[in-house]
Amino acid sequence: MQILNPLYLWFLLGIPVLIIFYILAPNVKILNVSSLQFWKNKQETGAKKFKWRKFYHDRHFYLQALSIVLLVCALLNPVINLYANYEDTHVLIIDTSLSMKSSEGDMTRMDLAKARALEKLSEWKNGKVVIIKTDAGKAIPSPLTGEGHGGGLWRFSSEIKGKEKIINVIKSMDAMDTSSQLIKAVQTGYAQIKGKGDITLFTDGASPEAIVISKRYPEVKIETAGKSNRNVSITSLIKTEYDNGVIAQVKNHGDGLEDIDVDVLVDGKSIGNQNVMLGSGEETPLYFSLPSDLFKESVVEARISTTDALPADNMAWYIWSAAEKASILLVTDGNKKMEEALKANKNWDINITKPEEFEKFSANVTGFDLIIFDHYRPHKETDHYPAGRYGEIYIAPPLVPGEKVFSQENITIKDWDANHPVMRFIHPEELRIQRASVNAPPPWAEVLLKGEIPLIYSMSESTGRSIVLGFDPSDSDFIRTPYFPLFMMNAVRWIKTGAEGEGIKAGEELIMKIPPSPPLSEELWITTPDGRKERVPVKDGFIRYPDTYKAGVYTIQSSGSNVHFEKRFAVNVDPAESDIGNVYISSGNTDSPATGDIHNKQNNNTNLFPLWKIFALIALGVIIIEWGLRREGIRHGSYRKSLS
Amino acid sequence: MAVNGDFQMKLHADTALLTKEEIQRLERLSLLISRKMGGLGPGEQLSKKLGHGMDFAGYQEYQPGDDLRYLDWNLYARLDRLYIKRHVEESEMTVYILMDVSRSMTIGMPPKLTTAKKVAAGLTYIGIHRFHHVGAVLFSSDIKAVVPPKKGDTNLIRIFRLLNETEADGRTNLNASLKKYAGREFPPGLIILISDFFSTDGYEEGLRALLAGGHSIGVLHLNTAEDLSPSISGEYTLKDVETGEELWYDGLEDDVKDYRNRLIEYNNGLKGFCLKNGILYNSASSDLPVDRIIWNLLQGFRRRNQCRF
Repeated sequence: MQILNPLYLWFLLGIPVLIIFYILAPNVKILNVSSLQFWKNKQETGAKKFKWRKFYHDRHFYLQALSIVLLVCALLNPVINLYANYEDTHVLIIDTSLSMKSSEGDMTRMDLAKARALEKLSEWKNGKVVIIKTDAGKAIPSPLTGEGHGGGLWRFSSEIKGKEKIINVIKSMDAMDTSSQLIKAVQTGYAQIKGKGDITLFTDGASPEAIVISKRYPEVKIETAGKSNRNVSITSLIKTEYDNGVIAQVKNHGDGLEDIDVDVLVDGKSIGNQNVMLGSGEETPLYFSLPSDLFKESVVEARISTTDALPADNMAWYIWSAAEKASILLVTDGNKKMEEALKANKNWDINITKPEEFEKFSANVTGFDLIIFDHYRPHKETDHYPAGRYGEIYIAPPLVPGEKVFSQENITIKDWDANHPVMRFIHPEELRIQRASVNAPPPWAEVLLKGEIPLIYSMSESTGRSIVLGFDPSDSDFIRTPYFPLFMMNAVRWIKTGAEGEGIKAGEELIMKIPPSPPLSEELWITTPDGRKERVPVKDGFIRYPDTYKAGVYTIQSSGSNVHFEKRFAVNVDPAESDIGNVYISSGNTDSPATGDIHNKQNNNTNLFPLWKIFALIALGVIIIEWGLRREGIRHGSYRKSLS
Repeated sequence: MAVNGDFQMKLHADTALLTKEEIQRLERLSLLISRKMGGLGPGEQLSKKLGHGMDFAGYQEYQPGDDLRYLDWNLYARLDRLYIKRHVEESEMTVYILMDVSRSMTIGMPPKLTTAKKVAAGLTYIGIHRFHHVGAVLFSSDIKAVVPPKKGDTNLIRIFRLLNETEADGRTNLNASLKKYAGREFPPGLIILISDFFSTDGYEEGLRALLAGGHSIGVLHLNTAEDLSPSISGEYTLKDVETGEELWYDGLEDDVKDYRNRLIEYNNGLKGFCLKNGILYNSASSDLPVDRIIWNLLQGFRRRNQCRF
């Protein structure tokens, strides 16, 4: 136990002061009696002789002295180190995101990181080693220990004595097609250190998160393995909305001029090839017409034949299907502009109802992919509604009383999330909004558009996805721009499917609605791009599959012979991973500026448990007891009231 | 004798010993002693003498000189002989109120002295009201004041003023005070002794000296909750209000228990002594209403056939 404020020990002098006070205090407890003839004669007379004896039976003195001691203990601010007996923990964080597949000479960045991690391992003689992989997706159980954690990060820990086991684990690690989660990994690393320890991050420096870590967690030692940056990629492959074609967005991430050949294939057959020259950082869309005789679901694949450092991002997939129908219910008291905007898309089946009608029949309304609540918020939670509806768009919903509210007028746009599927092709920088008023978004919400306040945000929850517009589009020029129908289409597509068409990013969880009819068995099979088959349960009309760590086409199939169901979805790489340049170094940082030591958390007081509150509480209890006893004494006439 | 309202007001205003309500309630009580004893004049008390009273005692053959008003003419008509009807003569009673005014009587809530004064005043009022001679004696370690027994409102006022002006003083010495008073020449009567009996020198000799004078004695033992069951916790200095002596009490409950046992033993001894010597013993707490205390006292006399009301 440590004492942080030892000077407060002087306050213990309060006890001698208390004793002096007791001695000097007049003996106010004199009781006049009719006669002493029946009291014990053996007792001595003359109270003046017994000043010291005042303490013999005076519980108030002891309680007061005890409360002084306890209060002094609280003021001393004693702390105990909860992890004093823990041994050193060495945390190795190895970036296993897509960019780590980039080649550096004869080796990949992953190989370099593993080699450096093994070197580091050889420096340690004792303690515990924790290895954290940064890729998203479900954990792959270690073939050696079976240990692993789903939900984004994979962790392995072992005593350093079992070094062979650790070496094997490091050697068996591979980079995935997923995005990196460096900050989350570092935070997990901190949580692993109970006493002293160190954290070393092996990455290629391509992720801006490395820069954030160097600023926010200066103790973390960062070793980067990224040098080359010659890379071209297909950042997206999407279907055009008004004709039968696809657009492949191609980008040159390197410093030099690149001659790029792009091939597009449908179900493995080439339908076109285009060549483009792109300078450093340049990006261009390439349009390809699809065959007019496409009727069934098909896989559209785009490929770049150019050789670069990261071939994994030279491919993209899109699942083409017949017109993307959606059944939409608009709950409104009347909004002509909105109705017209929605009806412009012939693939959407628009139903309109009033809020009162919706309240009456909400429990029985089924079959809609999406409900748009215009200036209205349903009284029931939407997860109480029947299965089949899992997406909502709230347009200027009524504010929830008691919650924090953001309001602004004459709004200009400050920022937006251009990478979000809902904001694709939207350029809202010129947008003007008359007024907006919105409840504070929940922590898990993604803000898509903001001025001084959040204007549009999206939420992905287990019950489905939703988008909230904090303003009425009619109060802005948004509804008159071509971006509004585009926004609505993006929103409907994102809410409705979440995994159809161009699909999801590698590492994201696939949530797919399974049609209610024909009835399927309670489980389906999923075939991954590398040929693995896994069983996935159907729950409440949905399947959820988190292990999308490999880019490519995933196929979901029913297993029985009676009812045949097959659906494919695409998993593409995160375009951000294609920027393989070492931004960490290029932004002025150097490798290994930090020692990696998580300095003795005792100094940072992070592992120290303060005891002053406990002492203060006990002191308060003692004072209350003393007060209660004194009050009881006064009530029974044992003390004069002046004492109280 | 009905006491008019103006006199009640005068008593109340002059002395403030008894409230108007207390005076009215006391009027209902009577102070009659059944024991036959001589008196100073005709009154309501039955005397040993035969004479002119209301209670028929028998017949006596006429002797010359007898009062012809008492001849029974009906008997003469039947027997042709003269008989005189005899009655028990009603005599007056002398009441002596002896009150302890030592400093121990200041203890209690209300103080025992206040209650004692009210009881003494009440008994005086009833006694005067019933045509008795009432006197008052105040004592502590010695006799402090005496009002000789007399009838009438003048004596009533005198006793009331004495009670009102008296303050507690001195320590109790029952033996010395009672023996001293018993040595005086005064006719036998009813003595009502009001005290808390905290007398280190004892009480037996004093009471025996009074009994020797042929008096009927009633003892009113006043006590308080503080005396009987002191509720003290923690350390105290106990101070004897009569002597100023102090005793350090260290908060042990056993000491309080011992005190209670000793006091109960003492009180039982006093009660036993009174019973053994034909003295009416009555104890009362100082917080009881005055008329209730007087009622209980007179009931005690009535049960012993010493008093009727």
